[in-house]
Amino acid sequence: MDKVTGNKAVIASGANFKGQIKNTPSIEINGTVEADINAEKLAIGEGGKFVGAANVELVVISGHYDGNMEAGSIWATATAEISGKIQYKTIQLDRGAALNCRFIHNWKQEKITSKKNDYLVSKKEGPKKDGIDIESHKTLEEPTEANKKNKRNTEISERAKAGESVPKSVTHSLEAKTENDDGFKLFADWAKKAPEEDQKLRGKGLGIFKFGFRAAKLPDS
Amino acid sequence: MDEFTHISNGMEIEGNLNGGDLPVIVDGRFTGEIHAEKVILGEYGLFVGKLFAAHVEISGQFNGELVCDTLNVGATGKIDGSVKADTLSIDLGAEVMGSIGRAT
Repeated sequence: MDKVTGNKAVIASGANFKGQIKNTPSIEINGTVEADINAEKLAIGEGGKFVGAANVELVVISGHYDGNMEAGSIWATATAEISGKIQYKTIQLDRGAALNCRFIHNWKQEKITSKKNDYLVSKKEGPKKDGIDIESHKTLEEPTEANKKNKRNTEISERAKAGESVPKSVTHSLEAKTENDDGFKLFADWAKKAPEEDQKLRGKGLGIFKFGFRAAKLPDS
Repeated sequence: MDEFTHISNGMEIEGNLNGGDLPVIVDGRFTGEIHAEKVILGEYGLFVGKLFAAHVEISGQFNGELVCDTLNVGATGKIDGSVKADTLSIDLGAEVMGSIGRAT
């Protein structure tokens, strides 16, 4: 019997459950369930009804759902009836799916901010493969460039320590690097100031916008 | 057996389950009340609470109150509580503690 059933939880059609469900990797609901579910996979079969909060990675809805759902990917088939609030990353709707709910595309904000701020940390850990990072081209390239320069510098200084004759052009580049550092500082200072200037510009922009707004409204009235 | 309600191994459920006409198989932990036509408590299943069914097979641990028409306690079954059954069979090796009586 155990081999037939596998490790998938099922609420059969005609069954009615009300309560708490914990520790379910995968659940199929063909009956009626009132519960909160935290799972990897959730399937609401045709004729199935599920009411309650759900935090699930993969959801297939062919029946009725009502509640607050946070899902990775959702597939609502033609017989789906959904109400409540759905937060999703990807969704597929078949023709005929009845939706009466609020949909929110839940691109996890923590991921984006973390990539902006701790690119130095992520560099140590190696490139993050999961998820799509818009910033990768900008943020990840700079540090690698700097890395290359640093590597070269350390190589040169090691060679100098070992007493090898270092060509002038190379030492020159070493000096140039320190100058470059100053330039970097200047840039950093400018970057700090930049937001203030931005604010001023924004103020101006607002004035123009106000004017435009009124002008646009006059002909209508 | 086409379709059944299955509480899978490792799953923890608490509440009230009405199984309808289809059988209920409990391989996980269930706390609460079950009303069903047929209930099978698997070898690693744990049930705590009240169970009302026509046919019951118990191979796991059962704590609580059991009311049924036909009861079969498997060799690995353990029962602690009160049992009311019209037809009863207990396999060799089963552990049954508590009261046993007739449902009607």
